[in-house]
Amino acid sequence: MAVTNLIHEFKLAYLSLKRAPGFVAIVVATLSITLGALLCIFNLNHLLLTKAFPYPDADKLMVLDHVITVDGVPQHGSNSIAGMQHLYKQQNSLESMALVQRDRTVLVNHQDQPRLSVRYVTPEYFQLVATPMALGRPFSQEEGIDSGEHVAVMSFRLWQEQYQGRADIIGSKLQLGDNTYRVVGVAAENFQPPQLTDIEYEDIWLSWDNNPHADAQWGMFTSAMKAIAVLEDGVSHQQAQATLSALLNDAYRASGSTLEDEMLSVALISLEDAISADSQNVALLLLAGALALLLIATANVTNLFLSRAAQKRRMLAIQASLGARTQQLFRALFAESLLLCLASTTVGLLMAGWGFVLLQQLAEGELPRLHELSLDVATLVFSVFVALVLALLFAWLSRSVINFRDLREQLQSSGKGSGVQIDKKVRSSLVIAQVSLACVLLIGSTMVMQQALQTIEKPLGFNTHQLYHLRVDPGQEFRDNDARAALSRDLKSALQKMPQVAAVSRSIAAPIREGRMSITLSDENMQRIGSFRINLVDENYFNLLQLPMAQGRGFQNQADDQSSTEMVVSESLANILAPEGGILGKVFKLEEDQPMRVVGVVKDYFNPGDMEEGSAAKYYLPHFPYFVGFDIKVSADSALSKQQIMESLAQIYPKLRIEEFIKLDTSYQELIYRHKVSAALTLGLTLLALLLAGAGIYGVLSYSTQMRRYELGIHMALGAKTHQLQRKIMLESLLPVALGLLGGLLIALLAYGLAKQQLSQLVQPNVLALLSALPLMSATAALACYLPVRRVIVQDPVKALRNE
Amino acid sequence: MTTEAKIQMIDITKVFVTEEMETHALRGVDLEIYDGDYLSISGPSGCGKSSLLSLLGLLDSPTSGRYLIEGKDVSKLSINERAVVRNQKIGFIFQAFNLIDELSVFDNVALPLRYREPALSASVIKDKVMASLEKVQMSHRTSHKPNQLSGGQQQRIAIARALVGDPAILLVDEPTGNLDSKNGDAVMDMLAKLTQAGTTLCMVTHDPRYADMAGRRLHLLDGRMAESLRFQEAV
Repeated sequence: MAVTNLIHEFKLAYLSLKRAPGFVAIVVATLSITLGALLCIFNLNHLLLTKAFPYPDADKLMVLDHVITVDGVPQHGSNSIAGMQHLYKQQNSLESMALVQRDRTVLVNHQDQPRLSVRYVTPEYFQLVATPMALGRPFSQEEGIDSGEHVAVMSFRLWQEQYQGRADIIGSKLQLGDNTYRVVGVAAENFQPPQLTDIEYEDIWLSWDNNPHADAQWGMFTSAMKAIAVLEDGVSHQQAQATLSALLNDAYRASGSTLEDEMLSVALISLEDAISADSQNVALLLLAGALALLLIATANVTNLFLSRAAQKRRMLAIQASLGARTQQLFRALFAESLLLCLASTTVGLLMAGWGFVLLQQLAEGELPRLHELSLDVATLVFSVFVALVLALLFAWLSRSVINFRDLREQLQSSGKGSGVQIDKKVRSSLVIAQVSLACVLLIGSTMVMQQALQTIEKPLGFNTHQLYHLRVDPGQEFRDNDARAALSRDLKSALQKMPQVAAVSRSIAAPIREGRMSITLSDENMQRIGSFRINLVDENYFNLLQLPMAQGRGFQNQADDQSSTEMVVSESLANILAPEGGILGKVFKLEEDQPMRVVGVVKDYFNPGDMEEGSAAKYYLPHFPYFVGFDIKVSADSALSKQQIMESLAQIYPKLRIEEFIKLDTSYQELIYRHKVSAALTLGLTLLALLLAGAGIYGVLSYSTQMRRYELGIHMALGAKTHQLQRKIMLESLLPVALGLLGGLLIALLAYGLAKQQLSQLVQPNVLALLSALPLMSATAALACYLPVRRVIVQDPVKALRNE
Repeated sequence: MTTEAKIQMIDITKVFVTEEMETHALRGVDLEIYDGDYLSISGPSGCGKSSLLSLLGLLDSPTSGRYLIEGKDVSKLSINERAVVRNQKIGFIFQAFNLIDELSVFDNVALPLRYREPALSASVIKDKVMASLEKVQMSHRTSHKPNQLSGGQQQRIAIARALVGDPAILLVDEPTGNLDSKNGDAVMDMLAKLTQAGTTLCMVTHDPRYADMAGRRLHLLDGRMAESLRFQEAV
């Protein structure tokens, strides 16, 4: 019986909603977008704050970090490779310990020579994180440290992408850099490696023995090395930390690499803290933002529900007069709101799915565990919970508008009754609040969007067309500086001879890319001026890139000569080094015995991969091949492939490996892709702000118009024309809208003032953004004011007077 | 008394259509109202009195038939054209007074004048409002809000508002429905005086006592005009 009643209620609710498509569309659009954002961010929070890592006994996994202190003051958080290896071999407080070293290397015996993200690991790694295997096996204990074994476990993606999932991959040989490895296994597709050293995808795990950093001295510290472990049963966290610290520090002091008051100790951190701790605040901040958005949307939708309840008063009055109890009326309202909230949640879940993809693209490398984002049970339960809470809230608020006294009045009036008039102050306050909130959202999103658009449209300052950057790995054979310089010159000549190549220059870093080198520059008296971006380039570099000289000249055939004392600075750096002008001829130092004289000032250029403040301040030194890199310009309508380069250079040195080969046009597009996504996202946010504002103001005014329709009917009966009523309502709404705009502007400025440091990277105060946001907001507000009134005044006055 | 009808309705029908049913509120009503007429329309509930008054006041549109005011067909006018006619030719007095709570007595009465186009000057509006309020003896309450007045006083303000625009006809819907008998009688006396001064008035009432005060009495039954008597003819 109860089920039949329930079905009947939902059927009635469905039929009732079917007759109000506009109401349904606005409610579902508003709620689904905000719920989509909330569910996406909820999932992220669940992942970073509460969800266990997908490893057995994940809560027991600890990450070992070294802490170096001088006079008791911690110095840095990097780890000593020698120290970690010493602990690995000597410790007995840990049940199991694994070493992990991050590196990159070229897969030489593959036609594409891809550059892989590798991890050198000891066999315990696979046991600690219980690596599921798609093929073969993980490393055995016999393939551990000092075993002399060269084995590899491939990631599922590498296996699929580079080897098309070949079943015979097990046992095959891979040449990675100078070493050859035997593939013993392929990790399963669902394996989620712990992002211990960096937030990036891992292509392959190699046995520890060939780790090129393994023989590093005790004084060599790196953040690319970590260790994970499980404590020995019966050993407490403090005990283990103390024992390991003593073991480490004793060996460190014995190594002779220490200063007087220096001490090296071990910090044992839970895996969760080590990976997620830094990101948890960001996740919580995002959650607060999403909840604020939901709050605004809920306020807006509430107004729409109140407006609808006001419209339905007569129908409810009839139901009440026929004996419907308050609970039954509430149930009818709840059925309607629940249907809408469930529909919104369903669309919201779809949107959350798209949100995961967007988040993975936007926050790649910034937040851990993003590849684990998925619509899990927790998110589904949370979404249903939110839908129920919202449905109850809307039904309860709608019910509060229609008490029995009102219903009786409604029935008694029956076409001739007195109209209920909503308080003007309440109406105005609601409009002011709506406009202010939406205005803040709109100003913020417009500014972020403009910032992104400016980045997209900003001219680079040089021509990337037909330009490539090539970096080769000379291998062990060319460790000697002179040999490498000779190789670099030979390769340049070989490249120049290629038919499609128009010009070649040598530089150690691509002009546009992520990651950069900075070296401290001091004045003649060795007073530190600052750390600035640096590149080592040859005499053809500026011409090849078509980077014009602002003053002086570029380099003149001084490449590979470490005794050269010339430098070229960018205009930005020239302004820092010599604000009064006269930079040419000034001398600056890298080291005490390394004075460099400025011979030229080159125009600034924009690197979308390096947008830190002051990144345009660069200096250039004559080329020396610390890295063997080339910038290559090809002839018009020509293209260059990695394969062609490999074939051409193989004639000079068959073992040569290409470490990096990028087309600058493509690289530029990749770098600004994030800004394009950001622009698209903020455009979406701008539209959402407008939608929320529109829905909010529409809701408030629609509700108040419903309450005022009788009054409007009187005006119409007395001869008011439609435009007179429109003008009257618009003028009445103008003041609260203007106050709302002013309030929004003040809140936005105040918020920027309070969070200037955090926001300055993201947005810059922009008058144009303000000027474009305000009329947009005003137009939306005007439309939202006009539409509900129009519905009433284009009908015969008798309908308003009868509250039809 | 002129022989030219001020208001003429020819074969007017009004049908309310819902998803489930059609309701024929008026079925072929013919009606003529002459200058200076004091007309009452009565009949049982649901007979179509209010629908007829709404059509007379151009608050609603007929389903079919012709409606002429001073010889001009107004049945096919747009919403705004009908608003002009209402504003200039018709004065309304409602059962529930229908004063705007937020406005003072003066502003309530001035409302129809403020919708005039071209706009009237403030001094003209003031003169007309004061004159109208004096007719109903309420000129001393100009700054009061409606909710500060008694029901009888509110209805007198509503009468002043109906008169302020010098309408061709006053349409009155159950003017005493929300008043006690004393105030009801006072209002009816006031309306009688207005008709004696030459105002054309059409009133819907279910009270036979007040209906009998009219010069012409119409009786509606099931949307049809059942009876039509001209007072003079009867005399």
